Amino acid sequence: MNSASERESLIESYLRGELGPDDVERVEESILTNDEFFEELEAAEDDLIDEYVAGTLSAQDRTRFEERYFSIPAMRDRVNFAAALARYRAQPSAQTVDDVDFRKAEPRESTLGESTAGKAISLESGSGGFSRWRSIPPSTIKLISIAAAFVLVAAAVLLVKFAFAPGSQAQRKVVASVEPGSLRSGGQLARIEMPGDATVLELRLKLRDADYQKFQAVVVEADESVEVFTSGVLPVESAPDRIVVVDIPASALKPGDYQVELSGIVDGKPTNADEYNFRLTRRP
Amino acid sequence: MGEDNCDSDLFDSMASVPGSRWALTQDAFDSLLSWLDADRELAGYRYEDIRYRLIKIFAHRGCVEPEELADETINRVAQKARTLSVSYVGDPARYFFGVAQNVLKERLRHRTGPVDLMPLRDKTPEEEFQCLERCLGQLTSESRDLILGYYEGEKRGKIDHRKRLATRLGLETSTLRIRAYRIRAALQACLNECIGVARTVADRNQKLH
Repeated sequence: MNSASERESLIESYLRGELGPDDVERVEESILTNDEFFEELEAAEDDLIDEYVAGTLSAQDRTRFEERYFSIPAMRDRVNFAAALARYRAQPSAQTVDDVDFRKAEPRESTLGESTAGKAISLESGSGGFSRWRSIPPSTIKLISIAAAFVLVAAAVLLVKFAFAPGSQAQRKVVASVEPGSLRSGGQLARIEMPGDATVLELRLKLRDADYQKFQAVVVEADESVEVFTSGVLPVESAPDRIVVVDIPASALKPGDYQVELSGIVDGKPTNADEYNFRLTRRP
Repeated sequence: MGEDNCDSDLFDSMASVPGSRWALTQDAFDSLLSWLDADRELAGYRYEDIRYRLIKIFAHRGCVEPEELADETINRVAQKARTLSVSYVGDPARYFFGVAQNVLKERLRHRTGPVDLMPLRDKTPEEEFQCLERCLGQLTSESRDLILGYYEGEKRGKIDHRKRLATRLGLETSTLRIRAYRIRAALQACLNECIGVARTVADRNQKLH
């Protein structure tokens, strides 16, 4: 595959199912191994998606499109986005591009992660911005101004509320190390005191054996065996001791006795590994 | 024409053959990531990227469960990752390609299974429109004009319009297409994030009332 137009033609034939088996295989290899080719394929898919959304595909192409793409959640997302963009552009109050002279548009710093999009476009700064404002109806400009004023006021209120509230910005964490062992077999009951404004309890669970590399923790109220918290997959931290760290939101814990059931993950399945016990009290 | 449909009973059929299903173990997965990249985070990105491309390949072949087949391909590669990291020379993606071709060839019969279609929304929620406005506002003026201008015109008119647009910007049409694709991908990510936030607020407000 040499020129851009050859690649474009090959990609479009591939998307429409018009290639022979050898060419299909060649394209598939390029999809996996050639980033530039893959990006060109995705761009061509955008065009196909737009045609689907606009209803301009033939019945055969439409059926093929639905059979191929609708089984992939990421592709359904792209279709929904394309439909949203098309509806947006159809709205009379949407932003439009009239006869903008791209050579005079004002560059502006983007807050959107576009990677290389737009940055390499060489444009001279000028008064192109005014011509764009001129194309927006006055009622819309008024609405935008009112909305902007509202947002500024709201932002100021939030800034005052959160910037000066004590401890509101930082997470208040309580850290406790717990030894393994069930109470029945002589294990210890760790005693943990949490201040009233603590937001997270970090449990550092010491491991007895080296069988597992990944774990899951379930925290249970000791009295009623009610699960109050289940962790995601937790890795082993090995310096200086082998431990597993579990962060539990303070809101899940009221004063009382708890049991932590730690399971090792093997082949995606939990296997009981150890048990930990602690008593939580609250300090006002 | 050479694009056969996959058999959605692939795994049921293969399960009856001893050793025909490869379950991914933690060790194998760790070895796979190490083979893809020494940096675990970069390896994770690479893994997701390969998986997405594999899904696309299987979907284009008409496979009803492209994600399962992609995972099957990955599982098989992962089982050999420790050996490959020592003996294999070249781009790992090329090895994935070979295994994917084997997975495709193992299908037993042609069949199109039922497709779970998610219908498009008929109406644009107000939040979607506002989110798009906001996301477009976060673009540079050049990018915003490019992405809005890119979709002007219908059919043949659209093609001619894009050629003119590319000429005005001093770009090849293929380069313009890639630019539009990247801007669009960024917009989509922005919209999804905005919608997620907007819906959370709406749901919470609904519960309060």
